[in-house]
Amino acid sequence: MKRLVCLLLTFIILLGVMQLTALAEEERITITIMRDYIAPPEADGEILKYMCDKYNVNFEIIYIERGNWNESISTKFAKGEIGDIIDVKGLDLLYTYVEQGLLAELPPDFLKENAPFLYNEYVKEDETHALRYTTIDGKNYGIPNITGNNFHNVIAWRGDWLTKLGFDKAPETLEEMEEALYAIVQQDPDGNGINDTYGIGETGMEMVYGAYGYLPELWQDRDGMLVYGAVQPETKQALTKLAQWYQDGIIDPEFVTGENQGGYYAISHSFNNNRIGLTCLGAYYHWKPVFYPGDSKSEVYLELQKANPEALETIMYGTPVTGPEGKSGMEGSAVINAASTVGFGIQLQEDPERFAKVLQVYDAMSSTYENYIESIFGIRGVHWDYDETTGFPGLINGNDSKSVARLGIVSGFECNEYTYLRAKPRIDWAYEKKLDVGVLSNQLLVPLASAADYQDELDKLRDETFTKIIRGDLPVDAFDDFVAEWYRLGGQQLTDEANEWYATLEK
Amino acid sequence: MQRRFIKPTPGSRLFDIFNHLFMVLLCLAMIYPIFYLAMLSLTASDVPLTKGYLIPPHVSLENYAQVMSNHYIGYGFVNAVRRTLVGTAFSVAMMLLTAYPLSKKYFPGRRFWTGFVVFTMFFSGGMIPTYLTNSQVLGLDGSFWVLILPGLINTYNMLIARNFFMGLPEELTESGRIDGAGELRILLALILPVSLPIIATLALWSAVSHWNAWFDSMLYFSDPKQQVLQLVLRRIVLEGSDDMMNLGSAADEMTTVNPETIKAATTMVATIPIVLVYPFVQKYFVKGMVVGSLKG
Repeated sequence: MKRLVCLLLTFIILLGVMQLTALAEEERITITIMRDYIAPPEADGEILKYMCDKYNVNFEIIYIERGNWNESISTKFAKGEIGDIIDVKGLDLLYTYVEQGLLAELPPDFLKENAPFLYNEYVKEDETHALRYTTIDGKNYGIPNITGNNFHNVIAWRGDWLTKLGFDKAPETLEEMEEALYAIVQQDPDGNGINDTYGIGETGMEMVYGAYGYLPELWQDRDGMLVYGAVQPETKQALTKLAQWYQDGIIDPEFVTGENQGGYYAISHSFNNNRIGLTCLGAYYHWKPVFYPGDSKSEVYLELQKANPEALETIMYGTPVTGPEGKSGMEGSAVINAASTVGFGIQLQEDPERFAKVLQVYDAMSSTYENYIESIFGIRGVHWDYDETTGFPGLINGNDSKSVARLGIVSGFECNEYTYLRAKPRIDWAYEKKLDVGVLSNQLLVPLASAADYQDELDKLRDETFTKIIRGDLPVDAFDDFVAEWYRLGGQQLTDEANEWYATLEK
Repeated sequence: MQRRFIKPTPGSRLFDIFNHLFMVLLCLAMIYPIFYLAMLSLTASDVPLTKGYLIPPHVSLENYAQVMSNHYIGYGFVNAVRRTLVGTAFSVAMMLLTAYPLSKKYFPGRRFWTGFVVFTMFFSGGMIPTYLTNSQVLGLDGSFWVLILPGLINTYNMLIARNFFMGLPEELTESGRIDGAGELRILLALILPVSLPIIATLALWSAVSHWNAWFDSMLYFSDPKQQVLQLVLRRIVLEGSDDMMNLGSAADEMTTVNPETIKAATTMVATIPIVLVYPFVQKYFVKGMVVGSLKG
């Protein structure tokens, strides 16, 4: 009898709870998110449900196919499916979406009011006001993501070769670099008696351009004006040097097809197989060791460990070499991570209340460290936990980035402080290897109106001409014709537009 | 006295040698990629991939085990098989039913209808209008039939069937008509039995294109369990390729990318089933040539 009463009571309580949750669910608003994931998320994923309960909203993920972003998202737009939160993969797309009337205006004050954390983190602290990147005709349409750590690619020298050839450190100037490369090519550092080593492949050239001050693919400041690196007279000097090197057998003739011969894109086959002595392929998170369980996967490091452990142990990490005038540089990440800008669906513009709620939830997901980690890894204790010895969060119970994606993570905004908190060893490693030294960034941060008309053709012209000059198919003086041609084929228009934008910044 | 063979001259012998040489090279060019992929898929995880071994020093089936444990491979496989079987059956039936009337000279408006169909070969509505028609107007969004119905008739293949039918002797039809058979009876009882080669050809082409298709699955389905095998394969193979990483944000740093060996194993798993179909269909191709040569 007692048991029966007990059971009955439990039943009634259960019913009550169900009723309550049903009520709560009715009040929940639905927030749709258009986003790509490494694996398509399931509508009833465990993490998604958890996040819905935690923030008392219904998250609905509209999965956008990674490799076919544009087709995938434009068909959804076409049938009127516009997410509340939309990942915008680049500022050029932001402009397109705004033009098509897909994005809601997000006035800075409205953002400040409803997402104070994001506002402080991304807008206020930056003295140049980050929202200007997402502002079109005086109206703001999104939140850009500021990249905190600006590193260039790794500069990895074959330490065992350099030591053998009598160099005790990685070259620091262009002259030293030249000396080292000639030694690598001429003195058979791998000791196999065959003249089969080259100095550099495709990626080693970047810092040669940098040593003269301008990178061929960047817009840089020159006396207060934006100029395109490829058409600067300094670039001709770099090409003269490279053509000389090619003629002397320093540059691997296979540079045209690149150092990676398939497989993971950051792995340099030429470097791993003792073909070249210097590579700059891959970022710090590819080359660092795996520091703790749950640390990101170091693809290049792990492959080199298997393929060429001797080379891995002796690598000398260098800095971009300085040229005759003391200049140096390699491309770093841009000031803002244009690929993770977030926009909001046009339907929110008509419904400020819901817009406010969306912003509040988004803000909450990012406003504390644990909330953020939860938003990218899932439920603590089930999918991830802090490592007992190191204290860094990592996925547990056999989860990987794909399984949590499938279970429906709803990532918030990652502020720099969190990156550092969750991945300190890896970022310390990058600083230790001086990857922040000599970083050049593209100073043009908006897409140009005419870029779609000219850019592809200009890039092709640049790449073809430079390759021919380096290979000796064209004399170095062909560079002057190239410059004239570049301006004639639309480069002048682009330069004008770039500077029109650049001028608005100074105000 | 007739000699069966002409005595080979040095020139013709040389020609034969080169002929065979080129054939062997051509075969190698086709077999090597498959061989390479097969070897890669059998490579154990401790073998460095940048070394480029012809035959891996450590062979293991671990990659296949991992592919089979992939959450979506099973769903994808079932969806792909279902789509291929149903799609091929419907496609072949509809193509034959379209091709046969168009092959008849007495079919009213034959030129117009042929032109009408051929028009679609050269002009299409574009991706978005097609998508909207299928998903909004026809209401096929998320339905299995969206994979089958829009591409039911492949114009080019249908025209090939039509040309085949046109090549059949008119007497065949007449003999049926004398015995009092109607058009449908003639098609089913007389034409189809001698048309096995073209049916086999259409079926094979249709099956292969259904098996390989992934774009429609990507556009129309949002539930990952509805996706076909090739889309699952595509996702796995594209992982870690440059253009995808460039999209990346901080989250890409912690991405676990499938190694190349897993990608190779997945490709094998997705390719072998459709390759296995060929031997069963091949005898009809041989027959097709014989049938063609007998007509006079």
